[in-house]
Amino acid sequence: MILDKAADGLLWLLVKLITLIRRDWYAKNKARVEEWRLTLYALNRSPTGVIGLFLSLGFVVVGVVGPLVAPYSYNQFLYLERPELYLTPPGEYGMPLGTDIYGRDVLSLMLYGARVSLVISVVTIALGVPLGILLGLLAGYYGGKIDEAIMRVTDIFLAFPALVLALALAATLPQRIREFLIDQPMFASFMATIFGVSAEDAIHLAPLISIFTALIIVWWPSYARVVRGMVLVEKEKTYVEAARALGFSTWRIMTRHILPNIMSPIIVLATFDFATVNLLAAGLSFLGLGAQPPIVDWGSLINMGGSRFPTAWWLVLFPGVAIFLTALGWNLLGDALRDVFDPKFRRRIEFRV
Amino acid sequence: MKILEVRNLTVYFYTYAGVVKAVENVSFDLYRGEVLAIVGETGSGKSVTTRAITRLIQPPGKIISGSVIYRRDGEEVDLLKLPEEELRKIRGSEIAYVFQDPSSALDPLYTVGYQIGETMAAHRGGKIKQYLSEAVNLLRMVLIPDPESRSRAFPHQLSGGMKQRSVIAMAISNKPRILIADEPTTAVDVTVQAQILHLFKQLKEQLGMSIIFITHNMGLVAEFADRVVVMYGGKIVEEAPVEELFQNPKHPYTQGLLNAVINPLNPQERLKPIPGTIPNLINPPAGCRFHPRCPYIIRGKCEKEEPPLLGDRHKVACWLYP
Repeated sequence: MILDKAADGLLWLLVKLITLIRRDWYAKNKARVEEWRLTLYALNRSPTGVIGLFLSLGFVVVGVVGPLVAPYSYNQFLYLERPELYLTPPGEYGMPLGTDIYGRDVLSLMLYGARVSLVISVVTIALGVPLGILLGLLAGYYGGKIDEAIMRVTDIFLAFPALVLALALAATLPQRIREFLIDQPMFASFMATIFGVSAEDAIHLAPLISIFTALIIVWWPSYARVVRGMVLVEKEKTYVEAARALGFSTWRIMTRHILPNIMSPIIVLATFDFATVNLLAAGLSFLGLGAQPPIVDWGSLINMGGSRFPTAWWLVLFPGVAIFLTALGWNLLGDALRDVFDPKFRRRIEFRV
Repeated sequence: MKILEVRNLTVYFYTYAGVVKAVENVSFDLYRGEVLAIVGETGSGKSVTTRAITRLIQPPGKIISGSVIYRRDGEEVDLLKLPEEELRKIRGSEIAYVFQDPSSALDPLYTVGYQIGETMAAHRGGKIKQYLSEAVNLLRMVLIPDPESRSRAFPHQLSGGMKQRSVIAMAISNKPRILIADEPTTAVDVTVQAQILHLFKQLKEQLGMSIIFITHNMGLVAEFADRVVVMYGGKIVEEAPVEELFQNPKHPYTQGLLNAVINPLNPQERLKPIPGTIPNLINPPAGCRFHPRCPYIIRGKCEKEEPPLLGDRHKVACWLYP
């Protein structure tokens, strides 16, 4: 199979790269590399997984390089110079996906929007998930009063509907974040860089920042609960008791022994959550709480097109398809990863190849 | 010379069904360089007793009272009163455990060599990597063939016997003074059992360890132990040197145990089981805990008064021997 060859090539390249730095690494870690190879093979055996991998990798690549390759900038209002560019349908005047009401190129806006979606989902997952994991580990491992305290707080946060909390924060936070962005030019230009917008538009990022603050707040509780449950199962296993009897520190047992053993379901869950965060962020933007003009993301594009729908269909269709494919990609990938992380499934493949 | 003195150890488990009196008033000594076997049926409190020595009892279990005096280099410490952090340094370095099930006592995600190295690094400081070659030596010491490549194997790539030997290598990696082996041979087959016992004997000679050996296999006791403690229903019922116990078992429960297995010293024709089951330790029988199953019960005495553990070299807790 071509994909297996590709996987072999990828691993070979990786091994070569590591051997450049550490001479005898491959000889020592042969078993680990074999395991990686099987993991990739297992992923190749699932067509939906491969599709998911391509879609989500494509999304990440577009998100990273999008603003750099976009033919026009998001703040080039071509309409001002060429009035005929108002709501151009796709293909006309050399605009492959048409233009919006300000005469901006929709293709470029989509590329910028991909960056915004990517940043929101990565930041939400990267901050929310570790927080949830940490609290879940503490609650599950120590049990008793600590468990009770952490889990009741978790329950309180789980009781908040994500959308309502995001609405509340989006209504109250942006003003303060705007002031903060003005006071801290360093932070503002950093934010502008990661969102791929120019520095003078940094203050318009305030609503987006409040969105992912809201998302982080509602995101950790589900992880805390899932991790706690898995820790409760895992800590009863003999190897944890053995680790305790060998005199390992509690922190070491939690982070080096329990956490790696429960990591694969967490990764699967996080993969699914990339899709969920994307959808939620797009939804908030559609409601007008996310990206504010001139900054766009897919949700705000749909919002703009919504009021002009049948005529300006391209403003709705292309971002809609982009959101759909991204969400589909992460979900398919998450599904496939569940199989891939099962060592027994991997062994079955080993015997077939 | 005594290295460990356990006195009046009492451990209760607070469950929804009630308070399980798993271990009550257990006292025994461990001498330097000896093998002490603890025998008894499932649920007699053997494992709980040994885990309580280094406070490895998890909630809902709780050590109610007692003391465990550990003697090292002329100082005496009570392990039950030591701060957790001090005790952690003793676990795995001075008092090490080998658990029953080798297949689950190793973390499936790390290689065997790494885990042995981790044990050494945890107590001696430094990076795990610098102990990897020593880990290979330990694997060679516990008679694992081709230790260099085995040390890079994951637990699922090893057989049960090799896993158990790796666990033993982990336990002895810091040259402990006391090794507590909790049914170390139950999960492996008979030929491997013999090898592991042989290994323990060798290691004991080489390292001068004292071993507490938990088992319900009387054959292993006869083969391996110096002294034997017999537990029943969370209490010690008899304690004696091994030949003495096999030739002259005093407590009816010990006699029953020996009749239920092939006695290596005087073979009998039929094996006799002990009737009944081990008592419910939430409401243990009053008086002697063995009286409902005892063939020699003294009516009016055994149900009411608890027999004390009496004797010098050969101690027994039974009203038949006043």
